[in-house]
Amino acid sequence: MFERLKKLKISPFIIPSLVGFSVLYLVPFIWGIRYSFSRSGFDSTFVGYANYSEVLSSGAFRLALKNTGIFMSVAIPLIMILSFLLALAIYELKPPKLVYLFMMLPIAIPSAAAAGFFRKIIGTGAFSLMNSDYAMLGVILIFIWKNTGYNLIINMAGLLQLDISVIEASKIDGATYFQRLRHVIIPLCIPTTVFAGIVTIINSFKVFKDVYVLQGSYPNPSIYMLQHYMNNKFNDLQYEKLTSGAYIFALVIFVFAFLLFYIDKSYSKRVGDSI
Amino acid sequence: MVKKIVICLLILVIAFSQTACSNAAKEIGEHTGVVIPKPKDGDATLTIMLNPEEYDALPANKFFRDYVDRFENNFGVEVRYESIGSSPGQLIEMEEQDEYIKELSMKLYAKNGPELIFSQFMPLGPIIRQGAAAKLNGKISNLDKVYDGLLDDEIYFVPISIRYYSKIINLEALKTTGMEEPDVDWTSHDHYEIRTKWLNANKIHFTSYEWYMAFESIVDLDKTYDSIHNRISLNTPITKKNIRDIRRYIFDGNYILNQNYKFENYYRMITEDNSKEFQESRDLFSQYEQSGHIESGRYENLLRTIDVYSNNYNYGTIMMPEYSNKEVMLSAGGFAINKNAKNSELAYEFINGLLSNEIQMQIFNDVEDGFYPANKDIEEDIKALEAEKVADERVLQTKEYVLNQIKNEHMKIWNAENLDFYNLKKMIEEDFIKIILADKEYADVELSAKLSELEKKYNIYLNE
Repeated sequence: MFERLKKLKISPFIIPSLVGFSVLYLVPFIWGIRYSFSRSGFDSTFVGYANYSEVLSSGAFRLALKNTGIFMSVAIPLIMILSFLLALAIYELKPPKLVYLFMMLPIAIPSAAAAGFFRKIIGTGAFSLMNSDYAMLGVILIFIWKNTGYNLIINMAGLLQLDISVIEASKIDGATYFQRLRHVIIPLCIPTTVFAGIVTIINSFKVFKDVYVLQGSYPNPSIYMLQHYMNNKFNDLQYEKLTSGAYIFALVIFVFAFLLFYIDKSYSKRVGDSI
Repeated sequence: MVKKIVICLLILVIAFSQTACSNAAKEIGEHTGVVIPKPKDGDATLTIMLNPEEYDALPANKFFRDYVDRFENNFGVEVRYESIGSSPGQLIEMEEQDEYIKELSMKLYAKNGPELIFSQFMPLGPIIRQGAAAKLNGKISNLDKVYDGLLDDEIYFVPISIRYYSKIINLEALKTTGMEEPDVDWTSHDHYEIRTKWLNANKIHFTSYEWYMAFESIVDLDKTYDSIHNRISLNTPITKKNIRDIRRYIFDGNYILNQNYKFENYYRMITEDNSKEFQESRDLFSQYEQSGHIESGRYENLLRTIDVYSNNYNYGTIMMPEYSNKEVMLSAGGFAINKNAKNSELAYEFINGLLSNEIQMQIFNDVEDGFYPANKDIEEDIKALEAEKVADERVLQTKEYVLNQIKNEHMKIWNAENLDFYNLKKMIEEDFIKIILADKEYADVELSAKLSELEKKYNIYLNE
């Protein structure tokens, strides 16, 4: 009974956060479904799947979905691999703390300042990278530059939590460094990596700010992404299209997230419970 | 156990939020014919929403104040004004117009929003397109009095008064060119020729005004737009020729150019009102206006012939209509009705009264406002007045030309339209500044690449 009472004491601490989350995220998310089946924000006539079908048949939406897919499938694995390798290097080599600082500093730079910096780096005028067909490279560069430090912290935390005895046992068994990396360190870091992956997916949406500052509401078509589409629909008061597009996008994200959780679960079965 | 408590609490919060935020938008029933409106549920108010800048256009006018007093006495209601943000009469920036539209849409969504939305400058197109405005066909009897060309097949916006923006030619300046006065159905090319001849004889500085005039008379964006497929084509020989022509026009001797100016200076001069370059440009233009610029004079509503005649006499100008090869866009003061309004029948009657012959004649007689009545029934009465006061046959013919356009063609009313293509033209113009005023002229291949890129971008905008 004493244990039960102890557990009840915890709930007042999490309820405010849960209520806030429900009111600010969950309720609007559910409420928005109604908009997506209405004629417009001002006319709640039920129109079935008309909005979804209009959104899916919109060339602009399909382009935005394609560009967002390309960006996420290239930038997210790239940043995860890069940040893991950097974390591993720091873990093994133990460089001065200044190295940490330089890697994490880009997180703190505001989007407007970062955009100004990249405008100089990538170029202006008729031949800037951001105005060419390779503009996506510029966006990926900005994203990696800004977010590697954040992922580095998460991966470092994962590496520092590793049980040294397991690694030493593998050394005693005669495993080389790459064998230890492949069969011990990486599997044990999977839970952290899954978490970093989810955080990276969330952070990938924020690259819209930088692109918006660089190129406005209608950027180079090769970097026109779902957030541009939704932002423009919001500005145009087309809430029904906005919510329809958002739910389609949410479905894609859920698929990614479930994929990551599945990877985590299958690896957990192989190496035991998560750390 | 803890989990169950938390889940129950969550469900309660979600359920409470659903009921608290329920949408009670009511359907407006069919309204057949005009009935004597009575305020609903004892709520004796009729609210008019307008943005602060338009305050002077409506409540400050004597004829409107008198009309409101009579309406309040006849129907036992109070007419209230509602605005957003700034105080009445205060100007708002173009960038704030989007914010005004968003705030207005939130009010319209509410059950207790305003009955009437007045617009003279603010674009109501997005509100109308999203279904926030009531359809007015068959609900206002005096709609039959409005010029047909001012009404859509489905009526959501009722113009009370209209303004047709004129163009000006200064006669003294025209004489220096040796050219005749242009005909009323002049084209952008006619204007271009007049300006070019005048500039050859009178060297002036290149200013932001000159940019707009050059762009308007040389570049024809209407031809780039395919309205059937809703697509724009920029990477065409004609567009490239226009770009080269306007660049030559600016840089090959027509103007005195500031030798220290680079592309960034020109860009700021044209697009940034607070920049030093813009201020200098404006000061220069003011000087030229006073010393006989080809377009110096006072702009008037071309339909108000008495004012046009007076200004022509005072400033030595002729006022011209829009180019016959370009689309005419009118500005109109008018109302839309909130679909969710409580006292919509009162709102119909309010507009009905404003369209009456008596009130429309008062609009014509209101010199301060400078608008022309939207009521065609009083056209002959106005002509009789004009015949007494206007001694210039050309002025009367120009008005007849413009009125025929309004009678015979569907006119676009700027503040009631879906302004996608209009906004697109502004975006294109800004992007063309970067091409036309670049430090170095674009080679053909570069220009094609740039125009292709812009074309793709704008087709996204049009087909989003």
